Amino acid sequence: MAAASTHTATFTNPPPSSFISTTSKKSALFSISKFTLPLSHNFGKPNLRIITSSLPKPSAASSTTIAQTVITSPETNFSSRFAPDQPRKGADILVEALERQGVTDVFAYPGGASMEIHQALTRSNNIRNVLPRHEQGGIFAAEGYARSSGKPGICIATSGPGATNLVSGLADALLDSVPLVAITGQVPRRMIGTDAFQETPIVEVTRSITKHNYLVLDVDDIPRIVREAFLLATSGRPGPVLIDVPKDIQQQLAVPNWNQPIKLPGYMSRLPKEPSEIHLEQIVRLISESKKPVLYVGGGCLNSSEELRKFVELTGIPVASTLMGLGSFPGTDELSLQMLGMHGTVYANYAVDKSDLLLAFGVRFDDRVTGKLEAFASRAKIVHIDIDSAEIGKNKQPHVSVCADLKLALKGINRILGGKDAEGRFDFSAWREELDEQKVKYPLSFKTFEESIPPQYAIQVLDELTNGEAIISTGVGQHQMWAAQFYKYRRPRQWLTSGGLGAMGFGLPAAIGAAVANPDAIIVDIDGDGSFIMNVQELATIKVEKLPIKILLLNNQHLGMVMQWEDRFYKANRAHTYLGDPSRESEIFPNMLKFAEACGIPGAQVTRKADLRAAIQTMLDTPGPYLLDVIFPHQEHVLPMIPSGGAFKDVITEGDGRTQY
Amino acid sequence: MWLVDIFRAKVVDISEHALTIEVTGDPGKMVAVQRNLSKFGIKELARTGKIALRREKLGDTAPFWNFSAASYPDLEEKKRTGIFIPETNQSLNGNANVDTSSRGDVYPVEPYDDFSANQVLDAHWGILYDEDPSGLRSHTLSMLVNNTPGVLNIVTGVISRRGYNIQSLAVGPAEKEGLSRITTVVPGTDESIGKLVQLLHKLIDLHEVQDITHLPFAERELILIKIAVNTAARRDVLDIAKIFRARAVDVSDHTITLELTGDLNKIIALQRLLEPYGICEVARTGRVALVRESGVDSTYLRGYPLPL
Repeated sequence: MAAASTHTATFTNPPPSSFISTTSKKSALFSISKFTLPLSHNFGKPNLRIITSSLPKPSAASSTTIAQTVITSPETNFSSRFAPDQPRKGADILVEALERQGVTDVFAYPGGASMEIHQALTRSNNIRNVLPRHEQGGIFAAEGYARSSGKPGICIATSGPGATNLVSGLADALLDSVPLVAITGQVPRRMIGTDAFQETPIVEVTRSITKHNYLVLDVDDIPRIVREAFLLATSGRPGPVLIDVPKDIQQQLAVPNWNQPIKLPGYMSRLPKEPSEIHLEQIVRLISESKKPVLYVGGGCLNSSEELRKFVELTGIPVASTLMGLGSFPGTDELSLQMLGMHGTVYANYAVDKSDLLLAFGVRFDDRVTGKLEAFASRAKIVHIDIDSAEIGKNKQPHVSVCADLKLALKGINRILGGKDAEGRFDFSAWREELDEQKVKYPLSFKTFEESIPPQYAIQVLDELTNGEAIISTGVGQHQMWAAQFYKYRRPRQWLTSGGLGAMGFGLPAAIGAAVANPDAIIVDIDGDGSFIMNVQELATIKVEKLPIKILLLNNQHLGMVMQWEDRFYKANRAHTYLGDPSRESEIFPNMLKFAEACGIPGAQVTRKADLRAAIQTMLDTPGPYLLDVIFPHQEHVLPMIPSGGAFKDVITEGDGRTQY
Repeated sequence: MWLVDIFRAKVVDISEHALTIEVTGDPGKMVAVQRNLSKFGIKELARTGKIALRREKLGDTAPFWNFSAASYPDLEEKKRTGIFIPETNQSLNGNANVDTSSRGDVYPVEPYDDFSANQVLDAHWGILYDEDPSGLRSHTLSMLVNNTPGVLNIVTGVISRRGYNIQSLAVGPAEKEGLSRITTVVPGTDESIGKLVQLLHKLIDLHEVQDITHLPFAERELILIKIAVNTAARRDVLDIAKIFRARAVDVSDHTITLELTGDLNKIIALQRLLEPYGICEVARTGRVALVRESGVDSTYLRGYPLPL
């Protein structure tokens, strides 16, 4: 690490030279939680030389420690299966490196180039492999694992087609900031670049859809690379990291050095520091001066749900959540405005539109939420707290911004608020009453037509019968929006959905990952017929691994969301959105129960509203996996809806497929 | 003594206690000379003050200085060969008849504006220093990255993926082992380049990035230019080369290759001047730049940006 320690002369970021030496002294493993100690005196200086025109400098020179957002802290006394100087295969080194990071479950699908890793996994005592039936299922399962537990999800695939099947999952993890480590096999080093059998340049292909990726070219690098990968995946703004391991390295014998220091000087020095008191006090002052504040929380709040609850208790500010942030504030609370955005509730969008202070915590002002940027929160001062400095000012220029870990920022704000006489300090009751009026005027509602099942009602019943405690995963489309609107989430990491990418077929594999991470919880996959059939092969995995996943399949025989847009904007011209059999339109096609039967999973179909409650109760009571096929009319639309590029005044609250547009 | 050499000054008088130095240059250079020599103690200083002549325009629209017939000997026989600087004026996607209702679209899309206004994409780098009213100008970014395979791909990927154009790119080893310095010129407004810098900060392999456009910096570029000239016209081309202090690196019976190092204006001037002779090939390295530690900036001292 000589290169790193001589950096002092040229760079403005003071190198953690003491950090390097300390970790090499430590015979214990790299433990992320111990980071704060060696770095304490080196990171006082912010980046002075970097000139950016728009970003206000977030941290003062007084901060002394780097805030860590990582949760995992691997065991310090790890007993290896091998003697310290015993040479072993690269694949065994890789598996042991994973064990040392505290990994207990992986989702691996074997192939020629990754066989060695699978052989090594069978020799491991700590790691269990859940075998998916498609690599995409494997990586979505790893995502479900990570989203529901907060620990990084691990998936392993072979080279070539196996690696390219991971692409959707990596893109999804990057857009939703999910910690993920993907390991792919690769052809031997000498054959790279020769169009060998099952070779793809996966590092090139996934460069822009991963946070970072590695191609291992030396077997001695494996311990360091695995450590770095886990650090990158979990720190700062989490994201997917891919490690490409050639087969000859997997087979090469070597003695690993577990104490190699990591080489990420630039990244470590750019991790956000603790938020400065001045900014936090400024935010508190803004709150005290405002009359109509509203909280806009998102995926960045999932780790800070306690602090957020305390903050709302101290201030009484109503909370509107994005799709990714559902659950960070309990949906059953009276201060919760549910979801905002394109399919959000009228009162949440009203609140943001009329507010004079928008507290944006852990959000990125995505176009599904904002609609027309100029009209979004046009009357409000914007306070933006986010751990990623590139998001601040990207879409909407904030008036006050803090680039820091939200947990620390909220702790600081709560401390400031608690210091003065807390209760009765802020009175936003007039504002809350105004919003309560709106809640009464425009509630989330649906119409019932004779005996047919309203899908929204199905989800409401599920909410009742599971007591709001189940872990819900969804596909993408109308059913996803209804699941977001009509199920009240009480805690974070209960709601698993593909938000930024919107990948169909996410529901079932994600439920697998959640079931592996939370063996005692009730897991329900609310799926649509289009999304379900994209990864239907995972039914085999569910049965074999004995995962008690309940599948609530909302079946309208159409590609619902696209069909809704066709109805509204394209005069109901059906363009390849009918998923049934055109020659037998009166029958339900395909017969989803037969898919379940093929994998030995019990199931039932329900078409009448009167039978629904009992059917859902049976589903929840039956031990093990269960498929409930709920047939409903395709004329249902997701409401309310703000068309893209529209403002709050363009909101549509009426109508469905039965009227002509 | 070496200070005198650095500024390409000349010693004109020498005595026991004093040295008289003559130096010519632009205002920035004058300030730098004074500052550096002041530590020795300046006894006397005589400055002429600034003198300036307008740089002549090229082409048909240039004013015609009326002198004797001897100035333009060839005009008697034939017309002057017209020197044209082609006006590149492509317009992008002139979709005037797009259905403007954005309600039916999954993404909010406005009808396409005409993006051709920015001549910054012009190969001759039209608006570079001038303040374009929309704030669009070429920004110079200097960054230090790990010297690993694929890092250039990552950096250019980030830049081009978000729609920024790269006007020039120069990479090479930096002062520390294992690091490379990338100097790139990207057109944009201050705000958009600020956002680009934030995105670059997310790269793991990047150590630091700096937007030096608004700082005084020294910039150079190397150009190799091959001109079609036969033996008769070669003398003229070599004269032009001498004026620019360019060097001939290759000569044949029908071409000559010149090498020139200098800042952007010099390179463009040479290229424009040699156009009538017919340019076969041009290879430019792209701008390399380092911040001036002396803090001297001719542009600001001059009081107005240098017009092309």
